[in-house]
Amino acid sequence: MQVTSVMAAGPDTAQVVADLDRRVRASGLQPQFVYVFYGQRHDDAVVHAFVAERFAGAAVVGGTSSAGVMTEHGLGGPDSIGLLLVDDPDGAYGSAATSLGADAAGAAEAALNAALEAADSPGELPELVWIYQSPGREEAVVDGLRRVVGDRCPIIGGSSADDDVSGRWRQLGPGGPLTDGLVVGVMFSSGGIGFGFQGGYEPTGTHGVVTELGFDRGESGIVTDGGGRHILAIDGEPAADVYQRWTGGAVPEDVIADGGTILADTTMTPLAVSAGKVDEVTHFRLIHPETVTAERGLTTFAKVEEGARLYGMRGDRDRLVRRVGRVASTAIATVPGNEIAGGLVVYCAGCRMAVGEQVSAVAATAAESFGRAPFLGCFTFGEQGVILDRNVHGNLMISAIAFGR
Amino acid sequence: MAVDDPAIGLQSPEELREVVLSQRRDLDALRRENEDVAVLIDALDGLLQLGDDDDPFAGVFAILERVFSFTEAVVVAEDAGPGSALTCIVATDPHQVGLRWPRERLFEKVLGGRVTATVTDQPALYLPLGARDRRALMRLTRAVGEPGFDRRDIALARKFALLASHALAARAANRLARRANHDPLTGLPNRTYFAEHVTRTLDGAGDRTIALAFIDLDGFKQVNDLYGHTSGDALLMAVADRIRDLIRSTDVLARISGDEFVLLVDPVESRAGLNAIVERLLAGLKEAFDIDGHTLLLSASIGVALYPDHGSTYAELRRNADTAMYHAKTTTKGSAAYFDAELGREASARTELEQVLRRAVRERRFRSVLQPIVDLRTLEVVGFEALARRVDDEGRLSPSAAFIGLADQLGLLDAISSIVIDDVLASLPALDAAFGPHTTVSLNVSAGQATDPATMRALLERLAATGAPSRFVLELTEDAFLSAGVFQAEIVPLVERYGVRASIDDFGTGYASLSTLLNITAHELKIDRMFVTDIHERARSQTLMEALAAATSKLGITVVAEGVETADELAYLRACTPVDLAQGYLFARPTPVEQLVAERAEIEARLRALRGGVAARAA
Repeated sequence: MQVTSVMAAGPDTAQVVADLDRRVRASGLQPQFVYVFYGQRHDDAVVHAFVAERFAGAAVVGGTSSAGVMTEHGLGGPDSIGLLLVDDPDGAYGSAATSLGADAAGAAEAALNAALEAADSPGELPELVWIYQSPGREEAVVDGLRRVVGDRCPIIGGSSADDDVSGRWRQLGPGGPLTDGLVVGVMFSSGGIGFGFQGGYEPTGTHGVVTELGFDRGESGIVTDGGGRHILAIDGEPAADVYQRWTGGAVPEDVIADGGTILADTTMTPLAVSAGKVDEVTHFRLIHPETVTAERGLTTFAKVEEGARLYGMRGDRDRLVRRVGRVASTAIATVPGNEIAGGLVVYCAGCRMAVGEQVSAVAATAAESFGRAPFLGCFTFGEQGVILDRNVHGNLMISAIAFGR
Repeated sequence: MAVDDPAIGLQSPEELREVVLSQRRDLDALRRENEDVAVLIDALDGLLQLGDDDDPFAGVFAILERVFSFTEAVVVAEDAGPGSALTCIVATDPHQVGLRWPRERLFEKVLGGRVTATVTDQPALYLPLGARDRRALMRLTRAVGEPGFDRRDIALARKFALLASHALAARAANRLARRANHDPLTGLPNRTYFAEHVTRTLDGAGDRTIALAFIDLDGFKQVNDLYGHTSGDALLMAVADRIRDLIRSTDVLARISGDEFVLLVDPVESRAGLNAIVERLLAGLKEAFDIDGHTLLLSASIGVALYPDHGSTYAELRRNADTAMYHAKTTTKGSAAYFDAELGREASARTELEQVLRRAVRERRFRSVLQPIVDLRTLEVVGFEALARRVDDEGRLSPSAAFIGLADQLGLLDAISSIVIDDVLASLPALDAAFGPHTTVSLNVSAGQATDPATMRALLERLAATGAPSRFVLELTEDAFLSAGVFQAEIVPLVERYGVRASIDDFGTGYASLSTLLNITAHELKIDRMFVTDIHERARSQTLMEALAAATSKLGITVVAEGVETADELAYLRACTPVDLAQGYLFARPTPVEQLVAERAEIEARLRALRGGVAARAA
């Protein structure tokens, strides 16, 4: 297996694509699987036309990445486009894309089966399922995928992102770009694939039980889901008030009073739910608060269940920088022989906001951990991976996969 | 409180705890994996330790079940090369064995090396597995509704498939090596392996005495001829078993060709001890063998050579043991002989003769001599027996007894026969001019030639090409007539079809009895000289001749007396037996055709004198 990353940047998509094309030709690779991530300002149609023509027959997965991409050479900037080419003629690869529609789980299930068909491997358990999707219904997507593969192989991926949470995120699959879609890739490699999925936060010691949720309701008004992304109350108190108390005032008081976006304010102090215990130690799935609502509730980038215990978490910049290296190392450690051809990183865009100026150190740390092997990194509004042998969706997480040689 | 340890790059107790727990999980995973791998290695051990006749998979299913928790396992293999049909060769459910499988795309991928699990209702795990030198796959399934096989199962299966393919390849290589080193019939080491073993042994032998015994079965060919090769093979296996029972665990027995065995006796504690082993073998092999319902008796001739006295290499020891065996066999079948200097000289002479014979064949230095055959009623020449002679460098003729045996062993008999028959056929015009065109010509055919259809067909073609095949008589040994199989089924009808006559040569010296005459087709029977010599004085010979005469006259078989040398023998044969024809020095010696023609008048005068003598004796 051979892997290489290619990155170019500029305001003119056609020009960037031409630059990419030159670099791809120089690599000499004939990839079977192509990751493509790009900044929100790029023209999806041009990007798609390029990959469809240049990599005809290859599986294509990707979409927008918040503020561009990173590779082993560093950050590409908001107008960058990055490719990761996986050349593995002895493996089997396929991809498919779908609009999530009304039944996100069903769409995900169908897309996975279509990707397996595309890989000429219908009915087979892939080594890894890669997904890239529109933010908002990740849990349903993961549930749909789990109907096919359960937790028997990792489902790794991210939620496509834009630069300012304005909804300009898109997904790119073999048939072109989508705005409310899901792209699924399946991988059967010849060299083995390792993965890691971790958060960079620790509990503060504060916790409480979700006592009221703004349930998703159907047209009839009946609650259609036992969980939701709108936490109204924790231990009977308005959720925003509780959060404000736990964090010592992370959110401006006017926002608590009037409501508004708190994405940036909460990146260092997210919430979490328990993902399970090992040796009596709790493992956390992070929940990133997005807005304060008029009911003094909190909307989040991940779903919680009523009755779930919420934990206050905290992070720091250095740790978020270091953590990407540890996730990459974990991925490498699970590759047979620990010899890698390249890697891929999904880094939470929220974490990127949190590390601020140190984001270039994130790219450098990842590059070092991958041993200067080619890698491509995207910045996302939600991350999917494996916690305690279960495929889940989380926030403020870091995913990495490593391709064995 | 922060923990700031630059060595590990951790800055909080929470992070430290996380790392410790992560490492503990990794260790647990590693331990689990090691346990699984240990089980897989057990399974591989099972594969390698099963005997050739065992199925290499059946025993390992139980072990694999501990790792993969399957409910059913099958191994499906290609019937022949890639692309051939798939057949289940082993399964936890015996009913599956023998079922044909379609060549689905998934199976193709697995046969090509992919390990894969399904996401279908019935969980299945497929792995490639070279089996019985063919491409194969193993499918492990769980019941519908049970959890499917996961990434970890696939990783383990990949390891197992890799290790198993190496293990099975090693097992196949061992089988090949064993096939290369062992005689497939008896399971004994073969010539190559034995030679290597002896060479290795001699390299480290130092001053100790080692013996190499050459064991050659007596009469084995007759068993093959009489009872067929299946019984012959069974006898060889029984012989191998019996010898194994009679030797020590430190001795090594090998079979180096058809009925030839070699035994390395190591160590030789004393000559007496070696003698005891050899005597045990001689006695043991003389005991009856019960083969296919027949009680068979045979013996073995054994020759022994000692290291270091009789050679320091395998080649020397084997050659000298062979020489000693040859001496034992030609002296007394069923006996043993030890190599010594005298045998060495004999062997040298034999080697010298071998060179002479090979050169003689190359230079066609053979020719025929003809001995007249006389009608006992008229005492006229009615035929000739052609005999082979080697022509030496001085032009002298060497009798066939001096080289026929060795020529047979060296495989030169066909070539010599061909040269001699050329000479006979070239002699016919001169012979006919002198003795008339109606004489017969008898040609000797060895048992080996007689049972080879190709040789016989070529010979008969040549005789038919003369335009008068009926004047030829093929003198065949009793052994050929009595052999089962090809001779009776193919050769006899072939001889008849060509109109050539068949004669049983040297009757009475072999295993044939009068009763066997009833079961064979022959036109002529030649009574060996041992029954003719002094027949007028030997009651036993006379009794035999009477019985023979009575039998053959009813069967219409012509009887020829060989070796008639005296007038008394002639008189008795003419007066008291219905023997039809005779040959012997009394009438004429075997003579080259030109000399025979030149002496025709002399021979006829002699025959006239004999007629007169007989008449006078009668008067």
